Amino acid sequence: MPTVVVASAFISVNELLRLDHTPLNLQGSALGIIVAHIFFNTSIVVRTLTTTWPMIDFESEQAAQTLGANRLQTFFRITLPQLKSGLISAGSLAFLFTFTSFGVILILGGLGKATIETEIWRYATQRTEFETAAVLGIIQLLVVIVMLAINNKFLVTESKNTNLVSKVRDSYSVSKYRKLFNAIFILGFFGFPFFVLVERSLSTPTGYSFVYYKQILLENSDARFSIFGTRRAIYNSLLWGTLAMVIATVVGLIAAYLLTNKSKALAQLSGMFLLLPLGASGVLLGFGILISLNSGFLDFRSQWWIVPLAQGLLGIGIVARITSNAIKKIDPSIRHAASTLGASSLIIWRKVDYPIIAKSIIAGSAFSFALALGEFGATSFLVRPQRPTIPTTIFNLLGRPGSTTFGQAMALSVILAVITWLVVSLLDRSGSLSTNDF
Amino acid sequence: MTFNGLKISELSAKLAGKTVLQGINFQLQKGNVLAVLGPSGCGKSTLLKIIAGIVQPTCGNITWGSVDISKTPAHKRGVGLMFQNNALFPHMNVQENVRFGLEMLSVSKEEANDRTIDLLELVGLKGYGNRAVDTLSGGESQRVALARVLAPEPKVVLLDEPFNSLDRALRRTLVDQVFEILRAKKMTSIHVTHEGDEASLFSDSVLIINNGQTINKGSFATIVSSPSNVLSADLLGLRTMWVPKAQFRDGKWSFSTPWGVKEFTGSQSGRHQLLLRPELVQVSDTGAKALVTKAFYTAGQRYINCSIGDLKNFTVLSDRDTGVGESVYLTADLDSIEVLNDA
Repeated sequence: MPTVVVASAFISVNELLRLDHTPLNLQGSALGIIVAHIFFNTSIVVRTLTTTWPMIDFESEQAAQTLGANRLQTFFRITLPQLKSGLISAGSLAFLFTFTSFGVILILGGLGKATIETEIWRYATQRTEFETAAVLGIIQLLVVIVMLAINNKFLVTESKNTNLVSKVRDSYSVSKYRKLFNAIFILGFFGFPFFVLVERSLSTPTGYSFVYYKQILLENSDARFSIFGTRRAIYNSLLWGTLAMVIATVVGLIAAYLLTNKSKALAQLSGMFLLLPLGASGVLLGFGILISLNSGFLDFRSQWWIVPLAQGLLGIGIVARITSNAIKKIDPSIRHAASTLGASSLIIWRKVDYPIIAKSIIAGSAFSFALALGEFGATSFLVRPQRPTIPTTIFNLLGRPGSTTFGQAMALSVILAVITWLVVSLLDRSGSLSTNDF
Repeated sequence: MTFNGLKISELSAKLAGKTVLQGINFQLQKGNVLAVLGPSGCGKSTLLKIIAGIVQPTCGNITWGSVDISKTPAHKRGVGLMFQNNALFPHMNVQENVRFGLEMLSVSKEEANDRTIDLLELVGLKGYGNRAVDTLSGGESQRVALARVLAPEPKVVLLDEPFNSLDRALRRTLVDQVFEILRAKKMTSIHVTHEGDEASLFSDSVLIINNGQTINKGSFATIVSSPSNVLSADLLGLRTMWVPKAQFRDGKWSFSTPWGVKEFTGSQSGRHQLLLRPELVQVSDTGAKALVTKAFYTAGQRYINCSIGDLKNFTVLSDRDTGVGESVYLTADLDSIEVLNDA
C-alpha cells in the first residue's frame, strides 16, 4: 500500500478512537511511526518466511522429535536456526524500507519526529541547505548499500529440499482455535486501519454519505475545493503512472538482460547501478534530480515529464529484479535446442524467452505502475502545485484544518488504496511474484 | 509370560482423508530384525512414522513389552527413526547431530562427548566430528544418521529405506555394516525396503504390505519357498511368472502350459498367475520348443530368456552355450509349476 494511504489509515484510527491525548496516540508519536512500519513490513517478513519455511526439511523436525525433542525444543533447536537466513533477509529489507521511509514519517510524525529521510527533504526544500542535505543523503546511501549487501547475502534461493512438494507434511497439526485466533489477529491488525479509513471517508457531520467522494470527483461544481485539484491529481497519477511503467519496463528489461549476462563483471556492475534505486529512497532520487538538473540547458525541473521519469527510474530496479529472476530460470539447453533447430537470436527471444518471462514482465510493469501511483518521496521534490498527484494532494489535504479536507483526504486515500489493491491482487493472482523479487 | 518386544495390533491410518494402512498386525521379538517390503506408496513409511509417534493412527495399538505406547508422544517414545534422506540437521556439524539425542536426555556434557566419539568410531567416522554435514558423501551422511539414531539407545530402530540413494556397491557394504552394528548392539529394528535380496541378508522375519494391507508375513525362507501371491514373489525377485490361458469347470481351474494342463482347486472369482522357477526348467533334446531371446549372467550363473509361443521372457538357468536366436527344447514337471493369487 502507498505510504500516504497507510499514514491516512493510522490517522483515521487515531481520530476514530480518540487516541490524541492518550499514551497510545498514533499521530506525532514514535509509537505511531513504529506501528505503521510494523504494519507495512509484516507482509515482507511473511512473504519471505512462507518461502523459507517450506524449504526446511520437515523430516529434520520429525527426526528431532524421535530423538526426544518436544515442540519447543524442536522449534528453537531445529526450525528457528534454519529460518535464520530468511529472517535476516526479511529483517534487513524491513529495516531498509523503514530507514528510507518518508511519507509515513512526514505525515504521521510531522517534522517533530525527524529521520535522515525527512531531514534531507527539509534541508533541501524548506531551508535550501543543499550541502547538508547532500551529506545526509550520502550517509543514507551508505547504510542502504550495507543493508542491500546483507539482504543479498542471505537472500533465500531455490529450495534444494523436495520433501514438501512430494510428501504430506504430517508433523504437528494446528488446532482450529489457534487458526481462528490467528485469522482474527491478522484481520484485526491489517484490516482494521483500512476499515476505519473507509468509515472516516464516509463519515460526515450529518451522517454517512459519499459527499467527500463527490467533492473530489466533481470538484469543478464547487470552486471551494478546486484549489487542491483532486480530479486533476487522479488524472496525473494515472497518466504519469502509465508513463513511469513504460520507462521502467523498457529500461528494466534491458537491465535484466545485463544482470543475467555471462560476463560476471558486467552483471555485477550493472546490478550495482541498476538495483540501487530499489533500495535508495525516492527522496534521495528527487533530491539528486533537483540538484543535477537545475542549470543551463539541463534545467528541466519545471518540465512535467520529470515526475514520471523519476517514478520510472524508481521502478527500474523492481522490473529488472523480477524479470532477471525469471530469465535466470530459463534452462540454457532450451535455447541451445532452438538454436540447433535453426532459430536466430531474435526468434529464440520471441519464441522461447518471451513466453517464459512474459508473466514476469507483466508483473514487473504492474508493480512499477503501483509504485509510481503511490510514490511520494521523489514526487514531493519535483511536482509543481499546479500539477498535483494523488499522494501529494492527500498530503496537502491532511495539512489543512477542517473536517471537510480531512474527509476528502480519507476518500482520496481510499481511491488510491483501491487502485493499488486491484493492481497488486491481479499480480498475486497471476502468481508471477516470488520472495526473491523483493 | 509377557511378550518381550514390539507388538502391533489392528493398526490403521488415514492421511489427508485417504486410508493408507488397514488392520496391520505383527510381533517383533526384542533383538530381532523385521523387513517390511512393498511397492512404492503402499504405506511402509507411514507404518514406521506411526510406530515412531510422528503420525497418529486412526485405530490400533502399539505395545512394547506390556506397555501401551500408542499415545506416548514421539519425543518420549524412545523409538529411533532413520529417514530416507537421513534428515541430518543442516545447521549442526557431525558431532552436534550425533549428540542431539543425548542432550535431550540431559546426559552430562562429558558423557555425551565420550559417547559421540565412540559412536563415530563405531560407524567408521572417527575424526569427522567437526565436519559440516553438507560436506559429507552419501555414505558418510548415512553413517552419521545411524550414529545419531543409536546415540540415545532407543528401544527400536526404524530404517526407512535409508540406503536408496546409494550406488549398489556402497549400498551393499553399508547394509552389511549397519546390520552388523545393530546385531552387535542387540537392537530391535524394522527395515523398510523394496529390495527382496537385501531383506534376505539380515531379517529374521518379513512383512509384505500392499495398498496398506498385509499380504504376507513370516520368515524369509518360508515366503520364498511358498510366496502364495504374485506381489510377494515379485518383490522377492522370483521368476518366471505368467498369466496362463485358463478354464474353470467343476470347482477346478485348468491352466494351459507348454507342458500340459495344470489343475488347481480354487474359487471361480480368483485371479491367478503361474510361477516356474528358472532352476526347475531343463534344457534338453525334447520338450517344448523355445527361441532364445536373451542370455545374461546373474551372480556368476548363466540364464537365458526364451519365447515359447505366446510366452515371452521365460527365464531358464542354463549352462549350455546357446546363442540368441537359436532354438532349444525345454522340459518341466507340472508339479513344479506354482499357482499364485493375483489379487
